Amino acid sequence: MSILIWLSLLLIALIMQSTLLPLVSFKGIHPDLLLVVVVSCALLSGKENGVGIGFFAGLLQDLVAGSIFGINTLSKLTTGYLFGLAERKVFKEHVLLPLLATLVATLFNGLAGVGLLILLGHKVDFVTTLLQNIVPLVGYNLIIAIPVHHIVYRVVKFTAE
Amino acid sequence: MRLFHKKTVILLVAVVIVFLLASSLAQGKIKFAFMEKIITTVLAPVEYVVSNVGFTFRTISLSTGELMTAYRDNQKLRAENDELRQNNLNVTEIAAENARLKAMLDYKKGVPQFDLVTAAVVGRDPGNWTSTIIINRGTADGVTKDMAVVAPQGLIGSVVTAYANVAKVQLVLDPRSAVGALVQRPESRVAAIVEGHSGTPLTPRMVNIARDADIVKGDKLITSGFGGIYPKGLLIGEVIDIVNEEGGLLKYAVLNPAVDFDRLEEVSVIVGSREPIPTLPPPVAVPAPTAPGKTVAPSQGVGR
Repeated sequence: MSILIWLSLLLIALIMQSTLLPLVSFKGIHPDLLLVVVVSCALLSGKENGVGIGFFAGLLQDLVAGSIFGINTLSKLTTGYLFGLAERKVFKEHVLLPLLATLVATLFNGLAGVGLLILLGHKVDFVTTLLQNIVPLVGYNLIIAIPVHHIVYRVVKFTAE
Repeated sequence: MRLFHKKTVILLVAVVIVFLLASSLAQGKIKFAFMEKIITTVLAPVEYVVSNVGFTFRTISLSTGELMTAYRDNQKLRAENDELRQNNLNVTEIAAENARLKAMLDYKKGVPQFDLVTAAVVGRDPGNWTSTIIINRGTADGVTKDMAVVAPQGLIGSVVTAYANVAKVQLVLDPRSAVGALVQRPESRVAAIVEGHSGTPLTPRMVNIARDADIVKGDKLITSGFGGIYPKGLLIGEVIDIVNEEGGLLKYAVLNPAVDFDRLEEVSVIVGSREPIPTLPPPVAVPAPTAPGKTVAPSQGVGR
């Protein structure tokens, strides 16, 4: 049952990310809704769920639009795991938690993505990518972090009951 | 509540498998045709509906905003209209002259004739590393892999995968895409390759240009037709910056693409082009055997 709920949450996030969010893109960058969902899930329900949600979110994202396979799967999986580790060490009701977590996660996820791209032999210009891609993405993700965190918080509570 | 038990081994294996798959996919050895097909095909109708709703909302908000500036725009357009009328007169004159000269040279008109299939954009790449779009036409409408995709403003990209009713289009902005390009200015005609750049997702680059090549800001780039995917003469974009590479031998040009990729709603797929083959000499009035080199040369010279 809870698997279905999580899967539909991911699918909704994926569809929004590939249809509605590009409409508000700024210089080709649009918010990474799935990443914020993964981070919130991991922080609220631990590393096992974090890894699972991260893996499937990344996998769906990689498969849906023929992007470079593995980039999102691996980076989101790692992000989910690391933030899942912090589950018992954070105060879940604090309003700054999603903001801070999203900030760190976007940077980490971006750097992991760049690292993988370089490992896979793609040409990446590190400094421009950081400035033009990852930094605007941080800002955009911060905007959606709090509402998404609230929704995920509800879902976690609902599935726990 | 726990979906995954603490099985580090499984996790490690999964990571290794994904990484291996990623590296072999990067080299183009295998493809996830089946999985991709299912997910793309299932999601496409939903995406179509959702993006239509999104487009409607944006159109409404945009047109409300445009009402505010309508008067000023009107004034500006009137002035521009007068200017264009004047230009139009000149153009008609030049066109007439062109027609006369062409008739004199007996050169067949080289206007590319394309068969187009119009498609709606139903989804964008959900990631920020690559640039692809999903369109609602597929093999059922004659769309197949490696067909060029255009908008009225210029080149968009090429079809990378086509399913029955859905196709994925790789934009020219994608770092994996490479388009043979040519500077449109008649004195220059520098040829090179336009590649996407992951760091600056909206400005592709024309790379590996010789340091002394004749290319300046404001030059328009068109497809060169080399490589076989993109027909010749499609507008790619305008050069906005030229940067010398560190090695000292090469430079690259930063492009402002002709198409506004943030606002893509409808695109056309070129399913067939009837461009005359440029190497065929036009029929000469005298049927006597002539040296082939002499007849080929003028047709190529005037062909642009």
